[in-house]
Amino acid sequence: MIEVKQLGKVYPGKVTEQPLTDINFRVEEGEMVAVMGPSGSGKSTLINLLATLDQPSWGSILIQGIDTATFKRKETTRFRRETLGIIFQEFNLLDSLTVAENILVPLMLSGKKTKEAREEMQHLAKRLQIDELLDKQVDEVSGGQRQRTAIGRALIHAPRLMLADEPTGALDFQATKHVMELLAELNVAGMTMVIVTHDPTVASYCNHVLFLKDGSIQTELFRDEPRRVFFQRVIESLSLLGGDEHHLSAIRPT
Amino acid sequence: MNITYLQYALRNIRRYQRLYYGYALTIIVAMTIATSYWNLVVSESFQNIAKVLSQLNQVIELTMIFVFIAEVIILFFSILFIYSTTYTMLEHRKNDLRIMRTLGSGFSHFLKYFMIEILIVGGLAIMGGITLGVVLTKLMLLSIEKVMFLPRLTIELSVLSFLVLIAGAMLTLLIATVLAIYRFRPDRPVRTRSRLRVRFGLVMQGTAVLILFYGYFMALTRQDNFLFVFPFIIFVGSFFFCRHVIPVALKLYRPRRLSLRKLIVSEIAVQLRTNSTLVALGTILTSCALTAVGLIFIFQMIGFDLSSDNQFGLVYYEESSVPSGRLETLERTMTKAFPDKYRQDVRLKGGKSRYMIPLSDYNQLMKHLGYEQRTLLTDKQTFMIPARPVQVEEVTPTMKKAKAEMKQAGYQLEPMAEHGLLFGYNDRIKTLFVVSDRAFATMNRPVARIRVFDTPSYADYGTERWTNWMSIVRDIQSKTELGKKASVPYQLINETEDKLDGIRIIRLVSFVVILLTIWLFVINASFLHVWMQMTAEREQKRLKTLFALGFSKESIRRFLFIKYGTVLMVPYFISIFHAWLLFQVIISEGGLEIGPFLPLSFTWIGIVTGCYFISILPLWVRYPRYLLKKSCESSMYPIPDSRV
Repeated sequence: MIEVKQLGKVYPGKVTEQPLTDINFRVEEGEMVAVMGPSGSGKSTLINLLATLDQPSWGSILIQGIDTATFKRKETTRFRRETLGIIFQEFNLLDSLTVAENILVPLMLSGKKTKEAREEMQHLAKRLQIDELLDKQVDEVSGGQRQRTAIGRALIHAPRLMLADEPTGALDFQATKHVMELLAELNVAGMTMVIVTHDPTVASYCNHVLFLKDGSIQTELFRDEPRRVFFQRVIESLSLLGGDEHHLSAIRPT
Repeated sequence: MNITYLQYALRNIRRYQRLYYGYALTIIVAMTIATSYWNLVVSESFQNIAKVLSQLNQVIELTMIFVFIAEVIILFFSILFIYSTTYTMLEHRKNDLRIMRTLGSGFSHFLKYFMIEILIVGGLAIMGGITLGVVLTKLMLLSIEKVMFLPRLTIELSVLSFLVLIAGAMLTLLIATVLAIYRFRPDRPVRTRSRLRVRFGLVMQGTAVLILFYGYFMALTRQDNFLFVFPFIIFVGSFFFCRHVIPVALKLYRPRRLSLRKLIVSEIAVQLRTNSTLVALGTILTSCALTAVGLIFIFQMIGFDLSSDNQFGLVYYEESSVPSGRLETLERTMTKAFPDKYRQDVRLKGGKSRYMIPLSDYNQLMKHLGYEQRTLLTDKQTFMIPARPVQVEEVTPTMKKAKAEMKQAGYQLEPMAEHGLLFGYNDRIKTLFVVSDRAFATMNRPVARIRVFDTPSYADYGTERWTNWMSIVRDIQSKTELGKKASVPYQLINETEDKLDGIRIIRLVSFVVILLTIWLFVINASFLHVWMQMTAEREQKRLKTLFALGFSKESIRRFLFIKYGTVLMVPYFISIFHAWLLFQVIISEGGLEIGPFLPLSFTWIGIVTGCYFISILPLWVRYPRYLLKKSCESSMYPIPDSRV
């Protein structure tokens, strides 16, 4: 699904920043990938590049075999509108709209018939357990409900690829669990996902984890064991990146 | 439970209603004033005053020039204001636009919903402005009637003129919006400025500064060309000073230890630097208002006094050999009201557009008015007298044609009468010739007549004689439909035709200028309102940080008071400096010394400063109070939300 080759990004300016130096990885169709790493390791830059919100300085990103750098402006927009679903840490909902309207925005952009769109939205809202909040303004619902609204918005147009930038960063323990179970369920249904996180619990839900440090991939983990065991491996890898193994080992997956 | 572009746009209007208030208010005021000016320009009734009050022709011409200038100023500032507000609004909504972009919104989607918003708010504001404009036109005509001693004026509202007005307003709105969107372009990739562009910018800045100082030199040496470079000087002067000079100077302040004072100074520098476009715009507006009000004083000063001896005459025209009942009534009324006033019957023969009057009648009138009398040696000699204002100054095609026709008829043309009097100003009488009495008698045409009456002068204004005179004028006027293209049977004529009528010009120009000044102040206040709304959120966060760092409420209040005071008043003082330069140049152009006008100019500055102060008061005093209240009410950090 995604193939990243020798990807690099430089932000020129008075002080040149190089968040990504040389990134190479593959994401297969239906895979759930977590990208982990300390602050400043280039996680958000990577997700921006994958979402075509930014252009790489070198290297290439192939999505379904097509280099995103060759996309024209309209094609980029269409790619984001049709193939991609994005979830943010801060939800990024439009606060002038209700929960239902926020979910429907992608369909408005693709010009789908309203009746059809409404049916799809109600079905999705039931699945996300926010069907009773549809007429509420976004500032009237809780953080977890907002994130589920954001997930609903990212799912409404049935994207093939889901990118999530710290989807549980602003959520508490219970809400995190609920959101991750939902994402795992979607993944089982066949959706490819790339999740940027620094929470090992979130990473333990994935079947492939990339560890970034100083702009390049330090190590990769593939899950072929129960989640609890995989969680321990994630912790260990994290400690190797600079954390303290003894401090982290106390954490247990939920 | 669905969402369309229209609904999204409506939600956004509601969400950003505070920003749209200022936006709509300015469009409403601009449209109100533009509509009333436009109605004056297209009003046949107003134009027809020229036909009956031929002397007014020049006054109206001059007024129209002022109205035109006012319209251009409104147009220019409307585009500038709408552009800046739209850009400001887009900046404020950047986050929403980013979210939409990640969801796959392209430029065309963005255009769709944003233009719907603009068209809804702008369209409603334009309609509101036009409605108010019609009301204002009525009021204006009423006051013009009063201040210009005119008979009743009516307003004609044609669908076509309104369509032109709406189309013009929409075009202005779209141009300004598209310019702002183009500069903002949500999907434009972020590019760093190339070295060439940086150098080009520096060269431009350097050139601008050189021209600025050359402009100051021109002002100090009182050169005429200063007036042409003034708009540029004031823009660069305020913009450059606010954006570069003052912030750089403030950066030089480096106290030994960090204090509130240092914080205030650096905040002022940042504010001036980031909001300099807005501030420069506000400065230009107030400065223009200042100059406009100043111009009124200057007009008053340069020699038009109220004790003018200008005198009206009434010329009543009829194309029949027997006087009509109306003319008889008029004659009776005039004799009764003004028994001592001169009156004369002038005979007239002709047809189509070429008319002739006998020499004896012409000379009798000249004798009464104290002008030189003319002689014609033979019956075939003739001379032309001006029949329309334009004929006093230039040779028109109609005149050429009439002269050729007279030559064809065997007449020998003598030089044209050189006085500024107009004799035959009427729809039909386009050219007028004086022929000898014998030639007039032998003409095989019916005799028409012109009845000339002397009337009270301005010196009589306010007396009973004047009231009587105006009631006669109204009586004649009410029986004539000025709005239609019927020939007007009478004409009010002034003795000193070629001289401008001071009182009327001053009053009309003042009227136009005062309306414009009000508009400029409203636009500036709206602009500040938008700026306030835009910066509110950021400002609250900053204040919360200051509170958290341990600053007392009192010091923060002082901080806000000094900061906003400086940010608002420094550009204003710069604008006063520029307006003062302009004032000096205008005074010296009028051949006057500044000395005697100092008290007057200080009064003027005082009045305008008062207006400016009132317009910024909400921002300077109430806004910091509101910010303080909001910042103290909520906690420093967001409360974690644990509801699932």
